[in-house]
Amino acid sequence: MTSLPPAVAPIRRVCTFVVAGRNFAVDAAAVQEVFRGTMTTPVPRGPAAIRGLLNLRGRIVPAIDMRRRLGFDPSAGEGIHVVLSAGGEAYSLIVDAMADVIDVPVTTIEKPSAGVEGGQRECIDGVYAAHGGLVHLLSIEAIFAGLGETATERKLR
Amino acid sequence: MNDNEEFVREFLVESAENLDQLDRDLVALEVNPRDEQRLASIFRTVHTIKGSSGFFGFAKLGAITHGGEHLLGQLRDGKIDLDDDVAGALLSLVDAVRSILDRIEKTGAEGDDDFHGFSQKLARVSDEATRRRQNGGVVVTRMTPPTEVSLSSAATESPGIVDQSPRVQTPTATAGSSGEDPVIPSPGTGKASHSEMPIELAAPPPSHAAGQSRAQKSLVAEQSIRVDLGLLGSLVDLVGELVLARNQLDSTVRHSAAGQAEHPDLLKVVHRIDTVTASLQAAALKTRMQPIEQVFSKFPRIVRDLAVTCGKEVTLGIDGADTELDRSLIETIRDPLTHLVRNAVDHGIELPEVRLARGKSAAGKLSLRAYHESGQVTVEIRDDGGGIPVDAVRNKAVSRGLVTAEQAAMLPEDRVLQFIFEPGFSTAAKVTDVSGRGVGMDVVRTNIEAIGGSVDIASRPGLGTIVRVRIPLTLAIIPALIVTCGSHRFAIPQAAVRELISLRASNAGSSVAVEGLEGAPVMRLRGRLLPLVFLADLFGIEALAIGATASRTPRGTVVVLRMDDHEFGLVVDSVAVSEDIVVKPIVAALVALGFYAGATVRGDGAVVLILDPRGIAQAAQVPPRSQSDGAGDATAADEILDRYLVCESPAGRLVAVPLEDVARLETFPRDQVQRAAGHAVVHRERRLTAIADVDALLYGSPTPFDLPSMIAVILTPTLGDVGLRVRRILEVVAPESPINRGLSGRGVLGTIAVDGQAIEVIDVRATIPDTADLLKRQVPA
Repeated sequence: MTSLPPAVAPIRRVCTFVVAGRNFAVDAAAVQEVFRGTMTTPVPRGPAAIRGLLNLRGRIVPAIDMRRRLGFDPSAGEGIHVVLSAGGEAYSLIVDAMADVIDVPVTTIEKPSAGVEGGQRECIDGVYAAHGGLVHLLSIEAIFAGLGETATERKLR
Repeated sequence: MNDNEEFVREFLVESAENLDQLDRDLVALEVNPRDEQRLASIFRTVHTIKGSSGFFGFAKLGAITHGGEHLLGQLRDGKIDLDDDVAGALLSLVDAVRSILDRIEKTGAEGDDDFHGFSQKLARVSDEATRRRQNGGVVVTRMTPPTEVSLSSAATESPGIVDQSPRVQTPTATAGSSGEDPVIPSPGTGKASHSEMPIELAAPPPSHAAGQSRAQKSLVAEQSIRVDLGLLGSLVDLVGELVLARNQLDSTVRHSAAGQAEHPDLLKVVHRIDTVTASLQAAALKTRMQPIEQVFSKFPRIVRDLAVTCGKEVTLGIDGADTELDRSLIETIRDPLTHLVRNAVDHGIELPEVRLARGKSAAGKLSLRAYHESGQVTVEIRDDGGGIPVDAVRNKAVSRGLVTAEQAAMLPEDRVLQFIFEPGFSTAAKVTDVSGRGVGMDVVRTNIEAIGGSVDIASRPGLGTIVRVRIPLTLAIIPALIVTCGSHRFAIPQAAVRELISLRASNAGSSVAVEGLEGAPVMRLRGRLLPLVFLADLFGIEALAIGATASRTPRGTVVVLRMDDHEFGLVVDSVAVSEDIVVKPIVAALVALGFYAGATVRGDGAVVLILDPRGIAQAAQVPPRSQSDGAGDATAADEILDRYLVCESPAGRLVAVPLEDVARLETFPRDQVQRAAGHAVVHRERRLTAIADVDALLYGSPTPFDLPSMIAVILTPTLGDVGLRVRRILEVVAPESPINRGLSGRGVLGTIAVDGQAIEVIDVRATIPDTADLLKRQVPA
């Protein structure tokens, strides 16, 4: 009974960033570009997590304040925009700081602990250890989907 | 066959278009069997397909089109009459050709279906028709056609129109040689064997307006090329970017006095770029636009077939087929509109005997109308059938548990009608082949709403139903007002803007006073009450604009917005500028809010949201116009009632014209009017329009033409290029009681009562043949 040596272990390339002093990550493949704060146009009566719209070379992209989305206190800083594209729509995530892009072996990613709540529980779909602590891996679809719900709820109100 | 692939594809595309045209032509020919030009066009189309099928070696296609061509040849030579059998055979030929072409498209070959029997059937129909003709002599035995189509405008019935100019013979007829209008020689001269019939080309006589426009049309077809849609899309996108850059350049130069002093020519160059960009933008947008005719053109055939299946008689009127909209939208609305048309024929229009019993004409009237309104395209499907049984809908809603019986009883009718948009909702007593399975209206609404449109329905029992589909501009460059409100800027589509009113303190107490009505702010505007919506309040933003209270005078600018069913004033701080903006899509989550139609990028690079006036009216709960406007502008439901245009005839008599027959009102300077026998002829849009004297039509007493200009009521194009000369236009009325047909006479439909006065309604349709005659008699050939 000899098992074949594993080929290359499957990995996920993720882009990590900091929000409210904690580390989060998204799949690097979805990241289109990263840039420092820019002017956004607020959306009256829009979802609370949307800080505004930005003009990305002629394309209108909503910027999601990740502090609000994940349930932290909002910050006054302009932050850093991480533009993601999924399901044909592009959003920008406003984060506090960028960390790095690393390859994480899938086997080291674990289920999120039951302790997290609210916006975080919706969005986090995995945890792994790095940077001397835990990094929470976010589901891009979940980040966007939550916004839609908020909008509909507001509409119904 | 591989080398041929491209040609085959081209053949398929071309044939698909031709088949659609055939459907239309055949149905129209059924109505007017003596339309030789149409017959010639049908013949040519079938001949072309036959020729191409021979070229590509499609034997089956060749065989059946040969049979069809033979039948058409008999028809053209006057050997048989176009009765129901022949028309049915020709329509089934179109279907057979279509099915073979479908097969070719999918598999590259004709497939195994046996069309031998079909060819025999065509031959049999031809033989039988010949026998009928011989037995019956020249008597035309056709019944009234079930469907009447009025698509074309020129009167094509008269033999006088058939071209008499020398014919140019071309030696061979190849697949692509669809040049100008061919004219089939009149019976007796065209003895050429039908299978080798050369296409004859005739230069249309210059004086014949209809012929001319047709020749122009085919000339246009020759000068067009097929372009990949993706390429067009990127062209439009690039032009959009250019427009933004132009706006930016413009504002930069205008705000830089120093720059202007240093480069005196700069402003001139900017101006030039401005002009060119505007033209380029218009041209680029036009490339994406297509007439809604692409959808409408299928309906004559669909309605005809459906009417036959259901045993009904239906007159289909199509108006505004040239209304253009974005190509991507055309595809999206095709199925929903088809569904609505089928519904109207199957459920709406009653059986002939039922209609007669209800005092209606045996043939139901179905009209399709497309028009631009408020930057949207509206398509109206209207029938004069039995209407939607509101009580049945109410009961059904209760039995399906959508509402309780008590709730249902409380609901107003228009709210009850909304239930038909619920999935699986049908009140049809029995399921027919056509509809009644309860799938449909919900899908219609879903599809239309998916592109940001809306579907409204209004119905009156016994009188009919109107369904109105509105399709917004999704991707376009539109004129808009940029307004400010606090620190925010918004764009408002210019199409919805009626007027701007300043709410300055000095205006307080004058005609522009802001009042409170049951807590809702309103403004008195020329005697009407206009509901006001303060944008700052709605959006919860800090702004300067305020309404009047005991201690404050109002401030701000009122943007009066009007959609079909709502009119209200949106109060903002100020209006910054009016400019063309590029509508850019925003994510679905923001569209769902209902306030925004999209966004645009200003010259300075900032994003500006485009407000959706309809959504704002809904969110602010602006009452519909009929309620807020006491006197009552017509709502959809009111339009079921006939409306009339009341005019004064040249001799001073009061006459009314059914509003649905009126296309527009025009005034012509005297020197543009040619006169003859009391009637007049004018040039409009490069066509001749006969303007009939109302008095001459109704009372046989023309009035001398003595005014410096002529006011004319131009009738809808479906009635031909005709108008009515009047002295004055008085008003549009919607009489409460229906037209009294007891008092009808020659040219008079009946009378309506307006303010106690009886006014005669002109029977436009009955008088039109005379009017069309006018044109022929008066214009020298």
